[in-house]
Amino acid sequence: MRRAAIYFAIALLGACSAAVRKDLTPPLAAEAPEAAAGEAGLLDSPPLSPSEMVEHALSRVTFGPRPRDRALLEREGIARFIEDQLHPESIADPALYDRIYQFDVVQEDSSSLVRELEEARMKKKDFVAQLAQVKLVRAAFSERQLQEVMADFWFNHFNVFGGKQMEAALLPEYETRSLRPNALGNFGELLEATARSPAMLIYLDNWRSRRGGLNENYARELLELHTLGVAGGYTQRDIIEVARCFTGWTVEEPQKDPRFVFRPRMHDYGPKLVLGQVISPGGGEEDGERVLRILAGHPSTARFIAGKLARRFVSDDPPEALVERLAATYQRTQGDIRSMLRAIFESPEFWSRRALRAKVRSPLELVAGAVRALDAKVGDPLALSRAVARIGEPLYAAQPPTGYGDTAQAWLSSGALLARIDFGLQLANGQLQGVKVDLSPLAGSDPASVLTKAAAQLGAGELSEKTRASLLDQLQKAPAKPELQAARAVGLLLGAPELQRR
Amino acid sequence: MISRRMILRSGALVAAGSFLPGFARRALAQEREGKKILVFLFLRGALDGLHAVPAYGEARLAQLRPQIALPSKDLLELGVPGFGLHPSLGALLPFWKEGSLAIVHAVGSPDGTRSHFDAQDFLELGTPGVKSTPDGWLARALREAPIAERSPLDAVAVSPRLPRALQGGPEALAFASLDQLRLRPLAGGPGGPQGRLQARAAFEALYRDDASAKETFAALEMLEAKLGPEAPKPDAEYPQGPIAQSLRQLAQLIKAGIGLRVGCADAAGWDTHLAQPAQLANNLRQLGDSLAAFRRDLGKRADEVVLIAATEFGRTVRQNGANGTDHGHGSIAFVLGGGVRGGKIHGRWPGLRDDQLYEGRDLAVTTDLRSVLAAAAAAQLGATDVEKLFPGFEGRALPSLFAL
Repeated sequence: MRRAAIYFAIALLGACSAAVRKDLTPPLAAEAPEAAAGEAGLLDSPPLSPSEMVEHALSRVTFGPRPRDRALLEREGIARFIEDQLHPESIADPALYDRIYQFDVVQEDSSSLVRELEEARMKKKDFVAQLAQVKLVRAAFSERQLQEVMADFWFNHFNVFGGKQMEAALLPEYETRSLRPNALGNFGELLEATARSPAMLIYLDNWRSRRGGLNENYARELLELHTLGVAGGYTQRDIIEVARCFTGWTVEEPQKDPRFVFRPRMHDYGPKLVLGQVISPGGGEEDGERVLRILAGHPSTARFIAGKLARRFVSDDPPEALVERLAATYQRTQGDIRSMLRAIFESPEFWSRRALRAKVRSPLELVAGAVRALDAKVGDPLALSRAVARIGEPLYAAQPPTGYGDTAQAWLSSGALLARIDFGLQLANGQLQGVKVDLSPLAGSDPASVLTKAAAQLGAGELSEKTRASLLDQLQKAPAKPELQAARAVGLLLGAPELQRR
Repeated sequence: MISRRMILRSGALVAAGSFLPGFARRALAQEREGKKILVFLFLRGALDGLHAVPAYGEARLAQLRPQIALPSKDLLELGVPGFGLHPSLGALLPFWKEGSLAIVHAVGSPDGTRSHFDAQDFLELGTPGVKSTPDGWLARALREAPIAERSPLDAVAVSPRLPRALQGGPEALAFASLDQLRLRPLAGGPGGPQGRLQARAAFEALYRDDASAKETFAALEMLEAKLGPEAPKPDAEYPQGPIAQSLRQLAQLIKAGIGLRVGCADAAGWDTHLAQPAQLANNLRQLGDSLAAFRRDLGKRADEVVLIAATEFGRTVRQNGANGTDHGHGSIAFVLGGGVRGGKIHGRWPGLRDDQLYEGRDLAVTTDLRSVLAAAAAAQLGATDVEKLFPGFEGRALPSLFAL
């Protein structure tokens, strides 16, 4: 009940004036007394203004605000928007399919994709290129934004590399059947869906692991990367025991019609001891299921997943108190992802000034965010997905099972910075093939008004005096044609430090 | 002497869009040629040293690897009794024979982790078992190196992000490909070099409070002056593939005389849990052919450069159920370049009897990789204080790896 009340307090905020903001603080603080009394109290003031809250919510729940999203949140409230996004099945998304239906990876099932690969009618890199474009389109245009954000998050958590063997052809089904339907659901079910997916079984080699011929690869990454975390309290012995439990979890007809199968003759039926729990001899497929239950219910998993979600939604180094509360939510709800997300969106840490623009945008977020901010018309997403790769995130091409990182460190380098800036110029100058932006609404009578309009549309926040002055200087140097002025303003802003963050 | 960094930072010399006047840049760049260079190629994913340089003299190897051990008749002759070279590495044999390629066997970390990601961090930080180390070992080596004129081009990584080995130290440049390092003109601006200069100046102003971005723009300017608009044809034939691409770009920078002292690149794809013979036949060929092309491409500068190729750990001595190997412990490192005492396998061989294996399953580590890295840092960068390079390391630089 208390939680509902707090949530309702946020709901009021979107609809009401800034005065309401003051009333919000006490109940939120009551949720996390230590945070409010300690770090949050001093360093996080002043509280976010209503427009900052709108911007902040959109920057975390979506791949970046479109102009109409701001209006929607101001009209209907932040809480309503977030609650809708937490229930993607309630959001109509009629136009998305029209944008992606032409891709084979959307149309065809695994078995026909695998056959195309086997018969060399398509190359791995073509599948990966198609997948990257579909992902970009979904990020930019799906109305179910939080679901796409989470699908991307889980893809990196349960990474499968698209360039290895036949995994590329299995990835569409991996995403649509294993990841996306569970993206906001139960962690244990998500985990099991990945464990049974041909893509994961092949990527981490479990399909070839058998009694007397163990393969430790999946078992190790299952413990280290999918559940407990590297310091989660397991040993080499546990890895071997887990690998024994998963012998026989394999893939039927991998080159024709790949699907999960349990093969008893590959399975090790001996007794096992996993993290101190005895798994009695004679069990078959259920040994693996048992391991997944042990792992999904383990406190280390709760903490590990809590920490990763807090890092994604709050900051690279999230407050410890928040992580602990999220871990408690995980345990209380047996791993309900939606409840954990709701707990994040209700937390004072999420709404603190310190979280504002605390995250560096990933290349995918940067490119999708620019498309959204400018309402770009995308006839052909190829150039956009190539830009994502050039900025440092070639999609589906992370070879190690860690996937792509989720901190500033993962994205910042000299080359990446210049590639980010160059992408902004390319988009604003109309030089991205297949992508059109209409900047005429930003044109104005003088550079100052162009700049103000462009900054507002791109969500650049309050520009510092110095930044504003140097931007104006550049605009004054541009030819006086209104469309060139607008293009120059957008190109400069997209590359500016403010727009690299969310 | 006024350091380059001081020049870079002093307002007086910062003209619009230019951190350094052309004459000073040229003068400094000339002064910086002829210095030695250290290149670190990280074989990420755990290369099986026992497959690349098999100890065929150990009968145990063929027993424990019935399907994946190469028959000794297929191995290339190294002139070291009991050891051979994988046939895919044939391109390296001339260097072995001329004495510019050394192998360190049973090398690795004193830490026993079999997590790729921890082990890679430990290697790059140079502090096995300690993750909180604030800077990487190459960052410390650069800091310790007696470099009079520092520049953002002292260290370059061909990598989508700055590798941990270079984090926390003097500024270093990282890029996935040289193609990232260009800016197109602003809308309505002039084309060509003038337009690029204008764009650079505009963003320099926007990023004026960001020290690392500032160095990026300075580096961009210097690179534009040194490299010209088109990449020159390399002086050797590189194979296809990412290792070759990275090394070709490092060679291009070295030959352009930008003053590079440290280069980093990655080579992935060594995590051979499955079908190891086929995977490594292919990957080792790429590695060997790329290294050979790199050394030849460097031409007259080849002997100023030392390249170390190393990995985070080795793999199980026993094959697994899928003609692969799982995560292990000791592996190998290649050291290629001028001044190297090559044609020799360095280190002590621990043996493959069960009681000689690490935890009964892996090749033991008898040489700490840090002693190899310390020797290279001393020889190439003049960074000789091992305690500063590797805090807490009680060993010393591997003697006899370099001819003094």
